[in-house]
Amino acid sequence: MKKITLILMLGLLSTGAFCQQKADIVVSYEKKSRNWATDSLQKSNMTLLVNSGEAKYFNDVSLWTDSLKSTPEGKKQWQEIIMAACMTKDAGGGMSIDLRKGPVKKIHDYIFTRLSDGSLRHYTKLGDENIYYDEPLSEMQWEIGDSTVNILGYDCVSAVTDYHGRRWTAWFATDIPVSFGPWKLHGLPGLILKAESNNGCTFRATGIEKTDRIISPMYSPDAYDRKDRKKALADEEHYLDNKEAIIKSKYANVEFQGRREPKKYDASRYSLEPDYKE
Amino acid sequence: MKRISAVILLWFPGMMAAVCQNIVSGVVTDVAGGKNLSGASVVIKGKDGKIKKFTSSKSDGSFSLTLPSLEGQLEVSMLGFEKQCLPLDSLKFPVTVYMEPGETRLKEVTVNAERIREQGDTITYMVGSFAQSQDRSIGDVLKRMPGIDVADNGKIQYQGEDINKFYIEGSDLLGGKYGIATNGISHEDVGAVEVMENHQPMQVLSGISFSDKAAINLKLKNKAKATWSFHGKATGGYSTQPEGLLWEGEAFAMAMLPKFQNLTTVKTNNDGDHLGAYTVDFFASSRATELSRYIDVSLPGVPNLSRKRTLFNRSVLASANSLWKLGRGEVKAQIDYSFNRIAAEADNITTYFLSDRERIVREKRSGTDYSHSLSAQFIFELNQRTAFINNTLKANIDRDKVGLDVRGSLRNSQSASLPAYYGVNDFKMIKRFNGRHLVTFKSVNEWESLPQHLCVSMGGATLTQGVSDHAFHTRESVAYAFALKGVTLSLEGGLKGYFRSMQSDLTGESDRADKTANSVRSNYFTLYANPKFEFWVRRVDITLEAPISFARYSFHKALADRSEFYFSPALSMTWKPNNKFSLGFRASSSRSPMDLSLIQPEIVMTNYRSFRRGVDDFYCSTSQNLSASLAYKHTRRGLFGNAFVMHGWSHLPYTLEQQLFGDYILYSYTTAKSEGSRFIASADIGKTLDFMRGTVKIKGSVNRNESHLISERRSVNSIANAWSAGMNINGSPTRWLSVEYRLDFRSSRLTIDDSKESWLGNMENELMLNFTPHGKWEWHISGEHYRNEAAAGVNKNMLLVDTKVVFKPVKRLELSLVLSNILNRRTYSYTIYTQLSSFESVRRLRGRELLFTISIKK
Repeated sequence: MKKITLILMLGLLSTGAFCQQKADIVVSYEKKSRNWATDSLQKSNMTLLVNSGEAKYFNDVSLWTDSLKSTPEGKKQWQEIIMAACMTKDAGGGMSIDLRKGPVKKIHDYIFTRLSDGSLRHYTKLGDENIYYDEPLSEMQWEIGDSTVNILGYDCVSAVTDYHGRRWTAWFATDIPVSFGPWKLHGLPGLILKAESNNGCTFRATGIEKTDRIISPMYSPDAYDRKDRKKALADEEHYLDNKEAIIKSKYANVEFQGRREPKKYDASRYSLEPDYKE
Repeated sequence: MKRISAVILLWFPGMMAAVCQNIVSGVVTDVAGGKNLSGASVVIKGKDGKIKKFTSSKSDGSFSLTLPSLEGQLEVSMLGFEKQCLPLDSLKFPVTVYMEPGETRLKEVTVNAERIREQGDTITYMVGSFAQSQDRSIGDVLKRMPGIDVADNGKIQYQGEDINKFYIEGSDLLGGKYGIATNGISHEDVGAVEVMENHQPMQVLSGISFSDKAAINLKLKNKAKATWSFHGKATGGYSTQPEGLLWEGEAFAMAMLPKFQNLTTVKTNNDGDHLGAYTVDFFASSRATELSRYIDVSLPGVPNLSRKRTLFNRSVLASANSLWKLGRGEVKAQIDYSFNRIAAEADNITTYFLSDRERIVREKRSGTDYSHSLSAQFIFELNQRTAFINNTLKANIDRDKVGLDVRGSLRNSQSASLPAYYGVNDFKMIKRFNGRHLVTFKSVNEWESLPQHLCVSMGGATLTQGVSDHAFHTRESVAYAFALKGVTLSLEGGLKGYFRSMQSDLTGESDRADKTANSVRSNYFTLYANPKFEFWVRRVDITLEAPISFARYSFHKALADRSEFYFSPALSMTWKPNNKFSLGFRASSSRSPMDLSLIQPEIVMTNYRSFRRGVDDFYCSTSQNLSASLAYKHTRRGLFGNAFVMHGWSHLPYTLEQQLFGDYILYSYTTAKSEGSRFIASADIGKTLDFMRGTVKIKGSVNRNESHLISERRSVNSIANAWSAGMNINGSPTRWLSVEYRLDFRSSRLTIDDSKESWLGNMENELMLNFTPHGKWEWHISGEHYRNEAAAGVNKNMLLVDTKVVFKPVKRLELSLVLSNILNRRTYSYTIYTQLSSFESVRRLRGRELLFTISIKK
C-alpha cells in the first residue's frame, strides 16, 4: 500500500493558549443513527480534526455555513448561494424555495475535546434552543477487548464502555497515537475508527488524511447558552412531543398541514444518552 | 525501584496468593527541546502483545499506572515522534521517557467523504480522492476529475470551455504554458484543485465585464509551500526497434515562496515522449502578422495510435520560469528551449480519384526533422482594483530542418530549412475612475520573419525554392467603458498598420514555362471602432458587439490598391437561473479580408510534387455563426455535464483549384463562389463513483463539413461527416487494485458530388490494471486494442501490451522496470481519405522495449 509519511514539526505541536491550533490529521466518518421522525437509519458525513492535544468534531457543510454567517459580508454571500441553489421562479413571478436543493446546515453538533482542559465542550441545538455544556473527560472509562478488525488498512483493537446509559464498542488504531474519536468518544490509546452503540448508532471512518486545516474555535459562540445536559435532553423530549403546540404558541399564524399521528419520543430507542431518564 | 505493597484481601475468592501492586510512573520528555510532552499515549502491553493498561501523559508530561506484575513492555507514542518501547523489567520508576522527533506514518491517503466542494463560484476537487496509485503528475489526476477535460496535447477545458488562467497558489507563473506544471508537479504535492467559474483575471474589470471562462488554481500542500521541492528521474533501457539504447532523464525544481516563485525543468529522452508539446502556449492568440509557410514538407503523421508508439525521437527540453513580487506588481521571466530530432519512415500508396481515371503514386519515404525552438518572455504586471498594467515582451526563434527521401514512382530527395523569428511587445493599461469609468490604452507591435528554403533533387535535376517573408503589425487603441447598475457601455477605437514583403524565387530546371519569381509588398492601414454593450438582467448576461472598420490596402502593382469597409456584429447571451445550470447562446456575422499570403502571382513550389499560385484579385469573405451551449453541475453528487452545438456558414468569392500536370499538382484560386458550411454538436458527462473512489466520463460528438473545390476544371462538392463517442471509467474497487478502462470510437465518411463512400470506423480500447500487493510494490499491466477500418469491411486489429513493476524502498526513492510492447508489434498500416485522394501507409512502430528507471524526490 502506498505509504505517506507525515513529518510533523515540533513547533506546531506546542500548545499556546490563544493561538489557533493546526490539525495534523483529518478523519471523515460516516455516521448512521436512527431518526425519530422516520424510524429509519439516517446517514451523515462527519469530520474530525485532530492533533495530539485536541480534537474538533463537526459536519463540513455546517462549518462552512457557520463560518460564512459569522461575518455580515459572508452572511450576504451565503444567502446568495442558498437562493441561487434553492430558489426557483415560475412564469407567473411566484417563487418557491426548496432547501433540500442547496448546501443547507442540518447537523448542529460541534464537539471540542481538549486534553489540557480535561473536558469536552458540546455545542448543539436541542429542541429549538442553541446550547452548550462541558463534560469532564473522566466520564468515559474503557475496557480493552480481544477482538481486532482492519479498518482502512489499520489493525484496530476493540474496547467497551458504558457511557450515559449506552454500551459502546469502539475499535481503535494504536498506530495513530491520539486519544480521540468520533462524537464524544475519546480516551483510548489510539484513534477510534469504528464505534457502535447498543441502539444501532454506528460511526465508521471512511478516510484519513494528513491535513493543514486549522482547528478554528466555535463560530458565533454567543448564540449558544450554557445548559445542564440532562435538563437539555429532557427539554428536547418535551419539545419533540409537543412541537406543534410550542410553535403555535410562539407564532400565532402558523398552521400545520395534514394530520399527523401524535408520536411520542422513545428515548430508549432513539437517544444516544438516555441516562437523563434515570 | 519504588514498590508499594497493597493490602492483601485474603477473603477475596480466587485470590489466594499475596499480590503486589506495582506503580508504573514517569514523565514523557522531548529529547530535542527538553520540554515535557502532554497527550502522549502510554500503553502497557503484556507478553502476548495485548494492551493491559493505558493512559495518556498529563499537561506536565507525567503519567502513572498500577499493575499487578512488571511483565511486558511500556510503549509511549505521540504524533510526530518515534514510538518508544521499553521492557518493564529493565526500568526503574519513575522513569523519564525521551521522545525523539520522528515520522508518524499514515498507511494510506484515503479520502475525505466529500471529494468535490462548492463555495460560491469556486469548485474544489480534493486531489487525494481522485489520485490512483499509478498516477505521477497532477495532470494524470486532472484527467479523472468530472467536469475537467485534458486533451491529448495537455490543453485543459472546464465544462467544454478552455480555461483562461492557470494559477499555482494563486500566482500566474506560467501563463499559457501550463503543460510544464501539469506534467511536472507531482500530484502528491497538490492538496486541491480549485476551479474558479466566471473568472475575471483583471481585478479592475470585476463587476464591469462578465467572463464565462473558468480558471484553475493548484492549492499546494504545506510541505510543498515556502520551500524548494525537487524531483528527478533517470532511465536507461534497450529497444528492439529502433534497435539500440534508450534513455530518459528529468530534473524538476519548484519554489513557491511568498516573494519569489520558480519552476525549472530539464528533460531529455529518446523513448517516444514528445517534449515540444510541454511548452505549447495554450493562451496564445493568433499572430496578427498572419504569416504562414509556403513550403510544406513534413513527416507523415499517424492517426489512430498513441504517439508514444510511433515517435522515433531524440528530445531535449529546458524551461525556467520565475516570478518576483515587487511592491504592488509582479515581474515574470520565462525561457524555454527545446530540441527534437524526429525520424520517420513510411511506405505510401496515394491514389488520386480523377473524373475519368485513377492515378496511383507509390513511394517509400524516410525523413528526419531537426527542430530547435527558443522562446523568452518578460512580463511586468500590476493587477489592482483601480488599475491594471501589463507589458509583455516576447521573442521566439525557431529553426527547423527537414530532410526527406522518396523512393518509388517519383524518386527524389527534399531538404528544407525553415527558420522562424518572431517578436512582440504587448502593452495594456486600464484605469478605473469613480468605480464606474474605465479607460484602456493598448499598444501591440509584432514582427515576424519566415525565411524558407527548399531543395528538391529528382532524377538528376535539382529545383530550389527560396522564400523570404517578413511582416510588421502595429495596433494602437484607446477604449472607454462606463458601468451603471448592471449595464456596461464601452467603445474602443484605434489604428492598425501592416507592412509585409515577400520575395520568392524558384530556380533550376523546371518543365513549367511560367515565370517563377515573386516580389510582393502588401500594406494596409485600418481605422476601427468597437462599440460594446453588456448588461445583466434577471440572471441573464447579454453582450452586443458591433465592430466596424475601414481599411486602405496597397499592393504595389501586384493588385490594384483598394479600400474596404468591414462590419462584424455579434450577440451573446448567458442565462444562469441557479448555480447548477447555465445556458448560452451566440450569434455572429462577419466580413473579413482574405489571407494576404494568397497574393502571389507566380508559382511557389511547396514540396516535390505540389506547386501553388495565388489569387488574381482581392476578395473579402463573409461568414455567419450560430451556437448554443448548456452546462449543468451538481457538485455534491459529483455530476457534471455540458453540451455544445454550432452551425456556421462561409461565403467565399474564390475557390481552391487543383490541377494535375503529369506527376505534379498545382493549387491555385479562381473567381468562383464557394459556399461552405460547418456543423458541430458535442456533449460530455462526468460523474464520480464514490463506492470505488473512481469516476466515469462519457463524451460524444458529431460534425459535418461541406466545402467546394475545383478539380481538373470541374466543380466538386465534398461533405465530410464524422461522429465519435468515448468513455472512460476508473476506480479502486479494492485496496490493492485500481482499474482504468477507456473506449473511443470514431467514424467518418466523405461524400464527393453525391457519391457516398462508406463509413470508416476506428475503435480504441484500453484497459489498465494496477495491483498494489504491498506498500512498497506495485504492478501495472495494460493493453491497448485498436480496430481500424481501412476500407469498407476491412478491419485491422492491433493489440499492444505493456507492463511495469514499481518498487519504493523508501518514500523518496522509486525504482521501476517497464516492458512495453511485449508482443513486439513492429508495423501498422492504415488508409486515410483526403478530399480527392486516398492514402495508404505502412508505418513502423516502436518495438519491444525494456526500461529501468530510478526516481528520487525531495
